Amino acid sequence: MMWSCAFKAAAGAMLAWLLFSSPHAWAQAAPRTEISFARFFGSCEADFGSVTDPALATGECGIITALANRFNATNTDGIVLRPQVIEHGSYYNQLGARIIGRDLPAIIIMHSSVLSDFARRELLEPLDEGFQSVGISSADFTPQAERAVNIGGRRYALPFDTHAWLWHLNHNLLKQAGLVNPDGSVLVPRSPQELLAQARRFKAATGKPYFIWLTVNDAPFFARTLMTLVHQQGGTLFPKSPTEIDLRSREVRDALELMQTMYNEGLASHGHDYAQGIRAFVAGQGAVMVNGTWLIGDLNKQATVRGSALERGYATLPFPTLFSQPAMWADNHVMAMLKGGTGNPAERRAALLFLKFLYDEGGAWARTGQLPTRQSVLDSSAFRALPFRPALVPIGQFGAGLPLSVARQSRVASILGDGVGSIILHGKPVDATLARAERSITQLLQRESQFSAGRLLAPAKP
Amino acid sequence: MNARVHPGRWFDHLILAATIALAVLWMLPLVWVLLLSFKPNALLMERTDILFSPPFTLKNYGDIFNTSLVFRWIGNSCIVALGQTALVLVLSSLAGYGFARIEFRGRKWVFAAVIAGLAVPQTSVVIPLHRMFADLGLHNTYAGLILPGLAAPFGVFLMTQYFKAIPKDLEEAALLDNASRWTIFVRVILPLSLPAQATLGIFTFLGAWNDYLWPLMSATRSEMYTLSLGLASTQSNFAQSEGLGFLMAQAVFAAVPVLVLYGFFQKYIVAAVAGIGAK
Repeated sequence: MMWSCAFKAAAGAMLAWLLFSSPHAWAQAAPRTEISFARFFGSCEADFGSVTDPALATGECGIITALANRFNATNTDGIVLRPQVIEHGSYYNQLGARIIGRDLPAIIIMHSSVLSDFARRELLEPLDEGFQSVGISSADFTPQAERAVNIGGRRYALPFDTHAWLWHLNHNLLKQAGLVNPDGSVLVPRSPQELLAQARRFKAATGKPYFIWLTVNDAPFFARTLMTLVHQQGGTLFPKSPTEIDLRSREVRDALELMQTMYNEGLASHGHDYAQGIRAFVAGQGAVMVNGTWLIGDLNKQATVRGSALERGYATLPFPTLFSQPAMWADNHVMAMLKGGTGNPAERRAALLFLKFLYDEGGAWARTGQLPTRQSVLDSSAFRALPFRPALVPIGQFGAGLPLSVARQSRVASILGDGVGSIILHGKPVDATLARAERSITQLLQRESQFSAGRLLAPAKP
Repeated sequence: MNARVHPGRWFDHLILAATIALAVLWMLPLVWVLLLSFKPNALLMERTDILFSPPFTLKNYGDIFNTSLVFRWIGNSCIVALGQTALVLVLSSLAGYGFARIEFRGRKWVFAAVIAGLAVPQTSVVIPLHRMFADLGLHNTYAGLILPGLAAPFGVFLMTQYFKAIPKDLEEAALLDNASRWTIFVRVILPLSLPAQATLGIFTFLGAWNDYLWPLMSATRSEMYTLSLGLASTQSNFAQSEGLGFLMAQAVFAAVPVLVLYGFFQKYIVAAVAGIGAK
């Protein structure tokens, strides 16, 4: 009897629950214009849930949370912004599923390196008219930011920041090795020969590798470094078309040779993954860590820790020009609008007003370490007053990734990085390995070209 | 006189020692995770090998509890995991009984089709499932989170095999007492299948509790996140370097309910893993 009742009750209760769990059970009453904003960067309500002044927040999560709070608190158009926070690693998986399921957020954050994949599939709204309607001036975008969102003459997103490849420096160790100028500034190498000479001198003086490299499970490290060195020689990985990579150029060989020499001579660290690499740098196991702008805040904080290897000895600068022209890998966080993501003109207007708000608040985000995408902010005294920022201004002009016309950039970088890594770390034959990487990437891009229809292809220049 | 130990016992001791050593080795990462969860993130950015010496902090756990939605996420996980478990038990028992005891045309083929479902990975059906649920407007609902887990071929298989092993004499005796098929199922068969139900229930609960992929696809409003999804959403982009302690605290926090469940149902879980079914 007891079993019968329990079984029926369980079955009945669950069926009733499912029947009454209506799709809109959790929908909030929305008397005002509500727009959703899908983003990563984590959620940190514990610390910044009620902060509406970005100046009082720290870190990417804190500042983006404070910006959203500020928009909700200050906009006079009755707009309610609903952030939807997704873990970074799963972000694009979920976004893809949401697009297929037509469960579209009004505004999405994405990387400029994937922007063209979405634009190519006609999933994004061109925003030029929208920008004009709310007063966003693309003339103020930095050259790098403009390249990052302009596809075939149309802008598909608001550039939110530029993040780039830097040299993070342990000034204390460099000083110990005598690699500083008489004025105390760091002696920056200006050629591959100078770099090798300085790195050898450093190792002889300290017994430590000059570079901390991220060599384990970090294909992007090698891809970004290779791109940087190739661009500095005036080369490009896609000289003929956006579907045909060329890894046999002299520029690629010279870049590889330099990296191989550094690694084989022990001038770069061995066996560090991303997190271990940072730990090694913070612990003073090497003088220079090649990593991104996003670490400036954390590393600068370490420089204030008493007893730290970085104590009063952290500095950073854009990847130095070792060849004929300045260039450093760069990517962007951009804000885009999916087609159909806003249900009516009021929501569309609300989404554009939020973009305008972010455009106006570009300086606040710069405190994360990422660079502003507006020239006027880059040139502002407030920005230049932030630690190390004046030195980073050239990134706004010379930062470059793969051309936007190249599809599937994340996958391309992954294949490229794996190939370069296997040559440098495992001594795989250069010609055969590069040829294999070339084949894989070209096949990938030719498959992808079915989505391009020739409409969005821009010149394949970095 | 008895100083000599039988060689077989030496071997037993050796096996025991090796087992203990392997168990300790296996436990080390878990202990490491637990200890790191009490360390300040700033320190962990520099080194992760100071496990037993200060400083210690509860801030990582405080940050979890201060996330306003964390208890909502726990509630959601409970609803989804318990709901899915209850329904899987109901459906698998009914289907299993049907396959084990009721003759109908095409039974073997239908059973084979159900079992074939074991070979279909979850990831391969995510997109069509997502589209279907979107058309039905079921995303961001409990129904949307629970229903996909109800297709449980393993449960049907397990219950079918278990019911087949129950002597038919018991049912025939009940039939002689004029019991209906439903009464026999509920009052005779189900109580006898408690060990199998427990095994299936535990595995279903653990699967639902730990599931990440489907909630990620279906729950896009943070108030509908499950615990695993919600905790992941709080991670910064470079959590492994700048928020390692918080990451470890999240892992511990998410595991606690499962560990509690394990404490209560250890007997059944061990039996289930051993593949023998508790008697």
